[in-house]
Amino acid sequence: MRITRRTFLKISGATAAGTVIGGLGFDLSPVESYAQELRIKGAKETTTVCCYCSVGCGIIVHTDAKGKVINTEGDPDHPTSEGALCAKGMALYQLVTNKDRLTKVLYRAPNSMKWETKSWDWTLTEIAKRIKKSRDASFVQKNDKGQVVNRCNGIAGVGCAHVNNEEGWLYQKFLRSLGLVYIEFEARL
Amino acid sequence: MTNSWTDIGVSDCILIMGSNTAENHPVAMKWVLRSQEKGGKIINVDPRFTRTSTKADIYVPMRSGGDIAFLGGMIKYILEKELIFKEYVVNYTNAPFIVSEKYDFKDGLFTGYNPEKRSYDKATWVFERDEKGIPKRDMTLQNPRCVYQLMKKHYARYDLDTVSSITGTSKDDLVKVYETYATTGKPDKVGTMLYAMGWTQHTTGTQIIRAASMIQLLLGNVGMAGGGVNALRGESNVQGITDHALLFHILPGYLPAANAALEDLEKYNATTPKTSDPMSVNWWSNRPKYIASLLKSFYGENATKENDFAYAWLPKFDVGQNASWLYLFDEMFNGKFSGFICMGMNPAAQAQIQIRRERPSQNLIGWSILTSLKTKPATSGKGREWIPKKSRLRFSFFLQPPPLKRREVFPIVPGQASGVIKLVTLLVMQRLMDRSSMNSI
Repeated sequence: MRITRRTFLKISGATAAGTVIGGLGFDLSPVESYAQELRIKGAKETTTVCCYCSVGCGIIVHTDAKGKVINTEGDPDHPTSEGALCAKGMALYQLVTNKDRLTKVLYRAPNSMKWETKSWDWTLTEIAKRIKKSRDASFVQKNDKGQVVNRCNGIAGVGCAHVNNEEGWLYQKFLRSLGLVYIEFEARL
Repeated sequence: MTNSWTDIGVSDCILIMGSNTAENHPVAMKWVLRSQEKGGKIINVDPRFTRTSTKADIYVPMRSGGDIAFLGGMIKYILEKELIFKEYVVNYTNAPFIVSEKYDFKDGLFTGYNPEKRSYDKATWVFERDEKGIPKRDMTLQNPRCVYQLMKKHYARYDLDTVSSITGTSKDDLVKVYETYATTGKPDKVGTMLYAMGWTQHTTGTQIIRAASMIQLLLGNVGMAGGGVNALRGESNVQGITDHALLFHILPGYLPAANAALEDLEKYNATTPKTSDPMSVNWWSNRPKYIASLLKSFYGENATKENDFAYAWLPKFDVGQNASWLYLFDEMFNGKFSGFICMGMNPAAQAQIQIRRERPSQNLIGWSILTSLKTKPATSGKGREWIPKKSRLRFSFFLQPPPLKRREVFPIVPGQASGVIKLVTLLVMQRLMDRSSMNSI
């Protein structure tokens, strides 16, 4: 029997699926399970949901002892996806390891073209200062007709359809407590 | 979506229109195919022959934008051949309701049209009511003023020739689709509709989906396992964030947002829908309870019955003011805002504001907070950066999401910028509430 790459994959796939001795004439399963073991041996499994589209496929994230993500794969126990993933979902690992990922707060000063790295504490305090200043300057208690409106006209806030419910709740509460009426996200698009 | 993904698997007929499910939601396609394995029919209507079309039992091409005519033709077909699920239509829809004599439709216009303002006065678009205020009904659906008969009259003009000339679809193809889909009007059959941006991004998107909903109601396919009108969304949690009202016109739980005319809680509660029909559930009669709970959740122990649960503190927009997406960026372009808080998205790349030649952000006098997972899209993307290099923008912050290893503390379920929003919101709030530090600014 002439074995091409395609038929090899077919036969070895069938071997892994069930039969101990497959069409190749020798047993591949110990090799395969050994290889599997190396990759995710001792790893912690955490289930999550794919962040891309609305199907919400289940994904298992394997992390090593230091908490580093070493593998992501489809969750066979998930009711919708049953372990299957699309190309984007399968590439979720690359989202973690991406070299373009931001790891520090960046700040661009007025009229500057440079992004500077800043500390969290500095950033949050400065954000709070800016919000307070804008809000104090643009907060109106009554509109032209004398009706109580208690709103802040000078800040707009938008969120996104990617965040989870709890954060969405917290975020809108934050924006509304500042008095914003310009609150939106991309559901209208 | 009105039904779950797994639910599609038990459908008898799936109409995919305005969506390329196989390519854009490949995992969802599994459930479509599972229904097909059990004998369900897949109908695909699309100007392009896509991978979804290759799996369809019936593929029908259609001229882009002909959706309303296509669906209108189906409504006419269903009504004319009396293929409706009658028991469902009579008891669970407003088909038997009698419409006011003053309502009419002539020369493409409904009654109450004001040509100067190019808008409708909807005062005549009402039901006839008895002395108790309950809409009159004709359970036989024979009264010429009942919704069912008016609908029949309205859709009479969607005959096959007209529909075919608008959609470019052959009459045989139209009948094939209508006939197959209308079989789900039987009590033991159910059909579902899948759509995506192919419907929603038309200027008439809302009307297309309404037409689809009408078909589903006529065939009794809403509220059934394997039925519904299902939007295949491109983002992971559009529904959740709409429920939690990151939108100007509603409060969480679909309560209407407070406007300036609703000065106190009493006036707000006066908007509560009322009914004198003993058979009506009228769940929205609970609105006063919902708004009280919401205000308590916002303002905690400061919200008491005596102070209207701090209703006055809710920000209120002016009557008629539109603060929705495009208006928001228009106002930004007009230089109205001195600050912009944007979490989890990059409006420069993602939103329709990119149709402008200039970025609205260039007239944003002040600061901008963005969260982003990656550096590129917002800082150096080709023409997609939120803040152009030359702008009057004075400050901008760029925050990163937490490292993924902190997943357990900030679960990324689902969400790109997840965790960061919570962190920033809470910590900024904490700083704002710390008066001693803020007073020194």
